[in-house]
Amino acid sequence: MLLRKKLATGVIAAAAVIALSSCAGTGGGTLGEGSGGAGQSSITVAAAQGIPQLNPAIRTFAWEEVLFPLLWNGLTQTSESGEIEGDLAEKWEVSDDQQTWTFTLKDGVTFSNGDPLTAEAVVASFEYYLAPETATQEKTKLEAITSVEATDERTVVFTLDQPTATFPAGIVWVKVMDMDELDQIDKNPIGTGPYTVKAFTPDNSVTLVRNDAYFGEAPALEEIVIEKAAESTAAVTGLRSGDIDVLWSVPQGDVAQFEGDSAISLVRPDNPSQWPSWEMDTTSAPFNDVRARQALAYSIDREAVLAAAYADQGKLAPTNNALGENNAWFGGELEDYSYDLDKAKALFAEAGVTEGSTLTWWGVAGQYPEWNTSAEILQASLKEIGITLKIENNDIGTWVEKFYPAGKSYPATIVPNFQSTPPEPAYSLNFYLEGRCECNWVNPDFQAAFDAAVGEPDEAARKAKWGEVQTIINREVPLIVPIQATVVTATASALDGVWVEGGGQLHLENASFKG
Amino acid sequence: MTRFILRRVAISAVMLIATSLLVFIVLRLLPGDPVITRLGSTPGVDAEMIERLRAEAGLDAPIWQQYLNWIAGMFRGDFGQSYFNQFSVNELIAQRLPATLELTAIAVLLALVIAVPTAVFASLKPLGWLDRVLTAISTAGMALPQFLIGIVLIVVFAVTLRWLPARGYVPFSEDPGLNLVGMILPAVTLALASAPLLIRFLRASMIETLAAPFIRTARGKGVDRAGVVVGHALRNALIPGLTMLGLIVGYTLGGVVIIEYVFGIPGLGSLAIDSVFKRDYAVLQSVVLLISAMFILTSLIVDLLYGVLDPRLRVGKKRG
Amino acid sequence: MASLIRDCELGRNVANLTTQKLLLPIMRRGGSLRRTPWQTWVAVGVLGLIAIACIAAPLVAPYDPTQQSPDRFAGMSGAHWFGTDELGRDLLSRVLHGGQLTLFIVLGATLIAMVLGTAWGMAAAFLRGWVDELLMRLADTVMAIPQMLFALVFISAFGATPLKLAVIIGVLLTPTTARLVRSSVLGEVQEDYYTAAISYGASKGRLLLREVLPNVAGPITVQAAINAANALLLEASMSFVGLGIQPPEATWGTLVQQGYQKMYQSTGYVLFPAIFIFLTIWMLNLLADQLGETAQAKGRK
Repeated sequence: MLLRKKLATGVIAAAAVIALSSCAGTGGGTLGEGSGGAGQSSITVAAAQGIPQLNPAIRTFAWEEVLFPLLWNGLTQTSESGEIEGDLAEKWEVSDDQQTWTFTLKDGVTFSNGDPLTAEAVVASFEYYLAPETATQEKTKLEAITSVEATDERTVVFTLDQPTATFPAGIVWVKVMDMDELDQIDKNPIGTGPYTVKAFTPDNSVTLVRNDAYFGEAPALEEIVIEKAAESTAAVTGLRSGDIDVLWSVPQGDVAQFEGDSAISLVRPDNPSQWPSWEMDTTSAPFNDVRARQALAYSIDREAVLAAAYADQGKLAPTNNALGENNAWFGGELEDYSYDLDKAKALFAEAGVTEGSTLTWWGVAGQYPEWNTSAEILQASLKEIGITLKIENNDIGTWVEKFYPAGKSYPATIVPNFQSTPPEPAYSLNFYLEGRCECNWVNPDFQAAFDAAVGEPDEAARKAKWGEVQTIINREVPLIVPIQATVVTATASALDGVWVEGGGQLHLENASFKG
Repeated sequence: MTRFILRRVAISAVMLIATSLLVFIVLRLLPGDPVITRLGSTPGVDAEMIERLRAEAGLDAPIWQQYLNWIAGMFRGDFGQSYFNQFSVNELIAQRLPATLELTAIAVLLALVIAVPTAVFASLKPLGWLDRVLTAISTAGMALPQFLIGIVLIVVFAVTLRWLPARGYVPFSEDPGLNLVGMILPAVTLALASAPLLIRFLRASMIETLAAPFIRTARGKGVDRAGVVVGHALRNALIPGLTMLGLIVGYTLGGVVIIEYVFGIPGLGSLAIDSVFKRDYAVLQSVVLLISAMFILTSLIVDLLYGVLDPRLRVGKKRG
Repeated sequence: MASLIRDCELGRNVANLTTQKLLLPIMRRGGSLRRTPWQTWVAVGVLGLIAIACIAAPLVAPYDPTQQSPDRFAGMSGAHWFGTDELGRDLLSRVLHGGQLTLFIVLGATLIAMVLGTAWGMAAAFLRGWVDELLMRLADTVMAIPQMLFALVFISAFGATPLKLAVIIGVLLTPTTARLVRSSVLGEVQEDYYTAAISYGASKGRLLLREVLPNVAGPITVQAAINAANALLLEASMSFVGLGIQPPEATWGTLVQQGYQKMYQSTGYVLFPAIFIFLTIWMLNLLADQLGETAQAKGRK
């Protein structure tokens, strides 16, 4: 009796363990057939984040930008090849001093509620973006605007307080809304884009349907459902089984398994301009000393970071530059900060960071596994030169409060973050300007060089001037740019026309099924 | 009897108020605030603007004032306003409630479907091999955290066999078929998590009842075995099972928090997790209170039913 | 699941029903009356083995758990029994070292719950009257909020260091413990020896420490095992939604979460820590069952 009982329990225990192991053992799984095929006109798009609100001006999370080209239009837009071209604007002219810009609107554009688009509506939207009480991240690009006026039904004139040759690139993300409907924007947003919102559950899903009143060519897909997939493993599973057609920002580690999978295509930006930015407070010890910042730059094993943390999805940034080496504006006399612990140790010592010192890594809990891995790599490197890196990961609210907004002091702390910027340096390197970068870096030479570059209409001369800007940043190391990261999007291979901007913004407006 | 009911209802009301206070205070302990989270790290924002946004959201008022506003709003049926969009908390909850209720209902039902027959079979021959096997399985089953059950089910049925979706939710009104297909894995997960205990409890209760004199009498009268088991023993064993059911409902409601996250279901649980991360107090406090209220209400109904079914308990006995 | 056992056995009874009285005897009677001490030994043995392996991790573990190597996501092999993770660290070593932290949190939480809960329950049972009412209502209120939700909020509020996690989980487990202690003590003070001793003028405090406490030690020990299982479960669940101990430190829960994220690269990563969690909770439940039977048997004598 006793023996039988023993046996029974033992067998069950073994069975349970085997069942568990065999289940997980098949995690490698078979490859998917994908979904799609002819006749399908609806797709499901997923990302790890949710969309909490729809107002493009007060954009809360980067993922909301997927809606920008679908629901809204700006005066200008970025093409797939990175050119700035007209969107609502048919053409534009600039005065010789680069301070007065005149845009002419396309004819026959209407909002999704049938109202015609007027120059007044464009002015109203810009005024909303410019209003001091509107917290919008576009503000820094619009600072030069002193007035915006509608001179007739179809003409909008901007007056700037400083020469800005790159102005059309700076207003790409200012989306024109029907301002009379602003108080209903989360429930019934009125824009001019190819799609309108059919249903919206904040943080969970947005269902878009074709806007029949769209002024451009009608989009191929009838319906686009954008969903949150908090759990990345489940999202990858969904993509493989065909429940999901597009997965934005695939976890870097999962990218390799899709390579060579005929059912899935990977979409990468042509000119990646998303860069991890590790910020330090440059106004307090030890990072108020440029040598400590340089030392930190040398102590980063960028190759290991790229390989282990970002699964090789990106490019090394040995010169610590926010601009990638294939960016058209990349240049300057740049110091190479490749991994060199001897140099790091010497420079740290000069800056007073000696063996036994402790630095803190202030990361975010539960998200961004690549930050953790980066931190662990840096921790191991610093350990070799006798410096302790204490890794603290907090939830996002606690994390952000430590260093944001710019001006806070957080000595001996490294804060990982990332910037998604356009390839245009005027709107990526402007992050280093005073009052924006939480690194609190202030440098008059940089400021002067930056203004000079922005105001230079001649491209060749501008390139030289951007080189000077990059040289200053390179020497001063206001923050760390270990690599350029590529945002990889996976789609069902039956899907065509999906592309990604350098900063990672997904474009679905031209998506269609092949054949 | 009336006194018993009144007392129970009064106790539940007091508990609700205490819960609201507790929830409110604990939430205010969270560092960070919705305004800063909402700004993300929008460059070029200064402290002044943050103060202004805080005032707009009513976050600069004294805490007791904020609490009273919340409670006063609730009496008007207004739970407040999300800090992140133009939706009222009522609307957000209305969007999410159906999924949670459906999931909970299906899961509890499934747990019963699994547990009742299993317990009956196990109890027929206490310590027999079937009983042993079932008991061993249920003991092991109790050791599996819900999310692990979820992972195992996803790996088996979604990743490997590809029979069922790993995630996603379609509203019932849109497509009842797809809705139910999507509910299978999460509901089974929750049911498997709560079934083992239900099995253990019902089994013990059945064994006890089967040994009772009235069963022997029934048998003696010539009622067949199945008739005795189902008609007499099970019915009697289920009465104490009622209390258990209340607890299972409560447990399942707690479990949906994790399970909705794992399976990407837009219910109250995932709304709560989203709100924690965003510091959306207005939403979070109401969601936590609502889930707690659902639990308190379930307990209340179960107790009242119990009072009706079991006369011994009607008298207001001393707590103990 | 452990939380449910606790809920059921020890009464999340909001009404005047004494779940305790109603359920415990029923659950313990029917069927498994024969004492089966070997199960206790198995449970103690397995738990002891896991505990020793974890505590002695620095000696037992084959590698330094933070030692990175280029051998990333290696499968199971003689060199790496459980394989390696995304940085080429040995998973067996990580699991064992992670077990230390897990053990600390679980034991810490259990200890806190037992101490606070015993004090809370005894105070209620001895003082009776409105204090009792107030204390028990407070316990009911805390218990009415789903633990997961409450833990989520507390951990976001206070952060997730091992000590804080132990305190938060401990506090969350306190009310149920208090309820159990209170009803056990109440049962005890109605016993003849107690009434007799009081009528002979014995001091209440003395009786409490000398007689009552030892007599309720049985159910309290059972509750401790249940609490430990519950603490492990809560910790793992919190880690799974990303709020547990943060990397590079890791508990089993953190490892499961990370492993699940990388399930497509390595199956062992999620599997082994999960097995450790499962085994530990299972053994704790088994232990609680057995101890419960023993306590019950003693009680009958």
